[in-house]
Amino acid sequence: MDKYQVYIDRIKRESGSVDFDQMYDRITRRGKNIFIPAVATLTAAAVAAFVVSFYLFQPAAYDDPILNYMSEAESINGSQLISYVFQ
Amino acid sequence: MREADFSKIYRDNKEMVWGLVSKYSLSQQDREDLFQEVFLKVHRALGKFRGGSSLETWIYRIAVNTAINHLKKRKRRESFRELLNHLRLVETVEGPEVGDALIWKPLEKLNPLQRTVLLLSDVEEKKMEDIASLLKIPLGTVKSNLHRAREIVKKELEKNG
Repeated sequence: MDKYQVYIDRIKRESGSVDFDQMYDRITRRGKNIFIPAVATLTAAAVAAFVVSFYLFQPAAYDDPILNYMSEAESINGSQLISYVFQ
Repeated sequence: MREADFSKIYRDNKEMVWGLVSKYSLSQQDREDLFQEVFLKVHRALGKFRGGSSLETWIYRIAVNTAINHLKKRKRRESFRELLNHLRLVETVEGPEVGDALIWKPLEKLNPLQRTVLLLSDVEEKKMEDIASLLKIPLGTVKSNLHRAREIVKKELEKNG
């Protein structure tokens, strides 16, 4: 048998050992816990997105400087405006 | 997915997965991490399994892909460590190795694809067509990688006596 085949046969035998029951416990424990960090990350991302959108997309103040300048008492309502126009 | 289903899948496939992942990693810790990673992926993705292939083939594919990614990550980590070592920022500390560490040296010379093809063909005794389908690569790529991998390993064996 050539050197290569001897080597391959050795590799086939080389697999070490492991406690499969212990590994099963670890896997199922991690499998159950996998969603906790994911939910925490998603919640944090949603809160951050809400805060950012709240500050970035507030309704713009009315741009008309005259209307902004007028106080509520000075402003006129729709019916007053109509009566001015048709006087 | 019911716990009982996963338990049965684990029981039926644990030896096959361990046999495969143990050929990819030198340290016991790495082997166990890799083994866990494979079954965690199976656990998460089982609901998405549509039965296009047998469950065993599906798990085998997950195991092979996880092992290839593990090799790529290890190569990157080693290159980075070598760089730091070269710059004398850290001392290289090797982890505990399994069995006779020298046995793995020739395989360490192969890239992840060459190593996978050689292990699947010569160690796991899979047919070339099956390897091509498993890795989703052309048959010619399997053949050329296997040829090159055997050459490298033979050369290393000659070199090390």
